[in-house]
Amino acid sequence: MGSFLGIAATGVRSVLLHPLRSAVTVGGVVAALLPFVAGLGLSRGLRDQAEVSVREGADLYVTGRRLGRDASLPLEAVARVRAVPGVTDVVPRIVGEIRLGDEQVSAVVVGLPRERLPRVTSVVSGRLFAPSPAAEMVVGSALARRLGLSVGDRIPPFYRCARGERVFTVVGIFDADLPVWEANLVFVDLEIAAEIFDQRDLVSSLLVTTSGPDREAVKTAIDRLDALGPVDAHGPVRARVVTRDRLEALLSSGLLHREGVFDLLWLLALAMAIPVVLVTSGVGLAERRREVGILKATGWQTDEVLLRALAESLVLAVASASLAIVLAFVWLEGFGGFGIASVFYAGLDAMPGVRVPFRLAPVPALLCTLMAFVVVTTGTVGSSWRAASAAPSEALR
Amino acid sequence: MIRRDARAPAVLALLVVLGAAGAAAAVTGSRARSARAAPAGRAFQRLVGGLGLGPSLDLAHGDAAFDPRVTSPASARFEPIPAGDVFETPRDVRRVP
Repeated sequence: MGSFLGIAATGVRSVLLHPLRSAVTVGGVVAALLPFVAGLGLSRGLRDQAEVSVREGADLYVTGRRLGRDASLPLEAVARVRAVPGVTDVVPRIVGEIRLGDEQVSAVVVGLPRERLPRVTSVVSGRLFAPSPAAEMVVGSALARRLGLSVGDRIPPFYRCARGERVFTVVGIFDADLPVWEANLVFVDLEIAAEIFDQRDLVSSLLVTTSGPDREAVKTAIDRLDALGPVDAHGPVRARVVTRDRLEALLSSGLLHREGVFDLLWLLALAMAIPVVLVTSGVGLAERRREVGILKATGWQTDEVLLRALAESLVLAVASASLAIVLAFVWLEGFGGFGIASVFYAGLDAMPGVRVPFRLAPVPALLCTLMAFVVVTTGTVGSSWRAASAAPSEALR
Repeated sequence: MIRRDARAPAVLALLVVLGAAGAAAAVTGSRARSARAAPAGRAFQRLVGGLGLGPSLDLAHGDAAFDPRVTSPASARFEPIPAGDVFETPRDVRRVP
């Protein structure tokens, strides 16, 4: 055991004997691992927030269907869905896109009945909007920054409505620490949202709460409704219902699939990193051959040479992986994911204006260390084995 | 000089161990960061009725990329993909004039 540790210690010393070779190896591995670790961290962060979004959302989401595609719902649908057995609450919601400012910045209008919201909330700087007819809005943090808005500011009419346009007042701004989807929100009363889109008595969807665990039965009952409102000249509006369970299943399968694709792509990148490390660590190849030749000439066995190289690889791999993880943390936390977040999130600038969610999980960190070990070992043990297999006189030549 | 050389491997090993501890701290720190933000995240989602599932922060990149609940979930992608934004065709380009 003592000799085993002694040989391993010489491997540690070997790292210091060739500082340039060691630095090149660590640098190459960190360069390959850093975007991988940061990317997985971003993916996990978004996954966490998406899970909360599903969990804290409604049991069922009901939208309309015409010609096999999504359509708006008449407000009468609220009463029809509420009458379905097992339904305890129905909240109409409007979600739609508008463009604001000279740069036509895309914003997401979300309208909910003010009376269904809490009086105060901790997630808004300022306050929530008053019920219609007050033209008040709460805006997302990134949108406020881009348009230079603050609480109390007034926004001139930005929409066309047959009933007339109004000047809006910003009464609150969402905190930047919230889930990323707050970034570009314009949160208003339901009636105000309908006015912005110049519509009457129409909503995008219904948020349905059910009394029991059997959401599928309620879903089936809503699916079977003949129409969700008065049948007009165009025919009935039928329902499309998405349950929370369905969303959770979609989320899991989508995440697993996409993470698998991401892992695969990066494994390919790492596979390419192996020859890169082999080539770049070639700066020490002659040194390694000579060193191994001397060791062999002084009585070292091939397995002892390989053990020494393994110990060296382990030190370099742990150092590389640790450095990559720490740098990924600094990149995501300290610099807000500058450069990489905009690749992963559509609608973000290179310097994200929102607090990008991320989580560095233990399993990917261990996987990262394992991959670093494989890459470094391929570079060091391979060349050591070739040199150790040759006669000392050949290696020393 | 000789004594300093003799200590070098131990110092290196210590540095590597400290680096590993730093990595563990980063993993733990990111978890704690997520946990700290969780209550506000839950309050936000309860307020808006559950909003946002995808890698887009607005509807300009497709409704499903923002939240499949505001459109058909069949074609939704639910989280970031590498360089997904680069390969995604903007909605306005997809429209036939």
